[in-house]
Amino acid sequence: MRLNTITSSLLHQLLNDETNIVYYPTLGIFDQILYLTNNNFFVFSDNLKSCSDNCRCLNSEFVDLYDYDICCASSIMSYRQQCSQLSDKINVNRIIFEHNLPDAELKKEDRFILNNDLIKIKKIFFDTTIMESWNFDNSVLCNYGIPTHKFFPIPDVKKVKNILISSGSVLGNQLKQHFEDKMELKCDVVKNMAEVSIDTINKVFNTYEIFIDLSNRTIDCLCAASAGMYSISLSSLKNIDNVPNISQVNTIEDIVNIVPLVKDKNINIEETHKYIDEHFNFNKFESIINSMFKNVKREAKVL
Amino acid sequence: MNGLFIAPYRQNDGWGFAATDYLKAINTQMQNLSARPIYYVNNHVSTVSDTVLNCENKSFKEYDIVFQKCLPHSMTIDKSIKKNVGITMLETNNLSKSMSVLNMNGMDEICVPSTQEAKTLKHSGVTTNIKVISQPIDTELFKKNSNRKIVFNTLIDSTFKFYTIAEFVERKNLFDLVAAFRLAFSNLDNVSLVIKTNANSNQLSSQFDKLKQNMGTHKYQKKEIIISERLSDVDMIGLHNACDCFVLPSYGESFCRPAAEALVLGKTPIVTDNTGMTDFINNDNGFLIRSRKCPVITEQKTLSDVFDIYNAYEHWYRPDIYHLIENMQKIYTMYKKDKQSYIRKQELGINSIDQFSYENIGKKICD
Repeated sequence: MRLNTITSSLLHQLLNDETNIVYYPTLGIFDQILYLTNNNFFVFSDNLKSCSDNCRCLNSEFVDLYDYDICCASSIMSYRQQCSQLSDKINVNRIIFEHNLPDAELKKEDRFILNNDLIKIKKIFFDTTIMESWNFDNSVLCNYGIPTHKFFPIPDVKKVKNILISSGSVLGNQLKQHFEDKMELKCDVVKNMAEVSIDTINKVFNTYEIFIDLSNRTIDCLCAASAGMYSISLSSLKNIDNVPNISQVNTIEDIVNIVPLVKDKNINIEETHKYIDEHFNFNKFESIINSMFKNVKREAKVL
Repeated sequence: MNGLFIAPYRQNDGWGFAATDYLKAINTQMQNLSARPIYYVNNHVSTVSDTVLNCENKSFKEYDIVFQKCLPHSMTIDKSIKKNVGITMLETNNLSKSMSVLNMNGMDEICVPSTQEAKTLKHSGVTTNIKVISQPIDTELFKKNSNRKIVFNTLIDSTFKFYTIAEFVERKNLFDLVAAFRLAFSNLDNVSLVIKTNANSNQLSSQFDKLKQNMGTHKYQKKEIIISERLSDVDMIGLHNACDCFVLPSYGESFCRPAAEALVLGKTPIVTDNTGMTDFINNDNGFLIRSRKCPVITEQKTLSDVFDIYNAYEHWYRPDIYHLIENMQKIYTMYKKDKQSYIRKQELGINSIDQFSYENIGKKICD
């Protein structure tokens, strides 16, 4: 470890206009959208490929090659494991992105302790219901921003397959089996969208009719809808089922039942983009996130 | 002029307190001063003074001067800044084998708190401009509380109290202090020894008992009074005031804030010669213990990451325990039989207080 990292990072935070962010990816499309905010992202992982010019995936042994401004964790529960130690070592402020509701097993008392432990760290939520459920101090709401200029139907690309399932568990494969055997639909399961470019994801989305999100990544659903797919989500995110081509469901059975109803459904993409630009505006998202980064990087780090 | 102060001032230890004092001193001379903390250890204070908070809340687009009060290994040179000033403190001598010399040579100026440390840096190859400026202390707080005494049951008696305030680390040489005290005085002498340290008092007490056993001296000798509670700044002044003579037979000190505090409160310090303390303590206002150079061979390390200081290429000074005994006996005899000389020494110390004030030190740093 370079021994002057703590002071050189600090000088970078105060003197440099660029923002260098140590980021722990969600492995979903949120990462790609975050990279569109034009900051420099550093992901320390031995097995991950970079998917964007402004994101460097490095082996953790090379941490001291750069100076950093902020360390971002991808959830409240993973903060300790992800960036607590590293942020102290390189002397940078921290931000936690929280995309999901608290786990049902997390007791009220534990949540209280966690809130106190993390009180000095800014938490960014992307939905009021989720933010209110956590009810943490030092929290900020920032709606997801979907870049409709990146996710759109590509003329002449044919929808050669029926369903794309986003799932990290065995459930995705079971559902795929079901659709293939019982409904004779062509179906694929995707686990990780972190290593391909945003343009490639849009191209892939354009080849499917329906997107099913089992990974609790609502933003993936919004992007799929923006790319012209009919999207089915198990998420509890507010306003999402107001998007013309998104259905919000509660159970796996609901998913199975809704697929025949939405298959071959015509999608009015103008209406979808209009709604997304109004409620999940990317420019607004970019401006909120960048002003947050700018402020947090210059603040004194208080443990 | 916009200034930036970088230091571990939120740490709850000697580094942190010294850094806070430097911040306050510079702030007396520089209105546009912003401050940002760094942390070497995870031991930090929960609240800071308004001055510190005020500086932390300031942020400027550009800075003319950056002060880095840190280990030389951590200093960073930024060429976009008009002046990069490093403020550092080292307890050992000879850094010629240390990479930190390169860092210091990149800075525009290095401030150290003692002539001895300036010599060390020059001999180690530091070629940049070196300024010797004492560590600042909150002299106003000392003046306001000059009569305050701490209320510890163990300290309410009529004995002449030798005392020390020191971390429990090898460099501070507390075992020699305890041994010297036991050899210098018997139970018939109306004296006691107070040790304010960070170690657990029971553990320390049993280690001192073992020392006593190894010494093979009389079993009926008095036990030391160990205070391991955390004390506020004001209570620390109270502790000084409840005692009579500060003793620190340390192997090496860059400055030693408790010794300076003891001096300005008239506690006639007895300290090791050839250390940073001799810039303000001498045989007129205190007592210097003869010492001889020896290599730094110790388990103590500044930080686990910093491998190239605290090694045997460096040296520090081992105090002569017999001279320590002699000095302890001398001050006690002076206290009993020659009050005039005793008071004269005290007064010399008390009168030197303003040299450490925030304003004076701030002026010197920003000059």
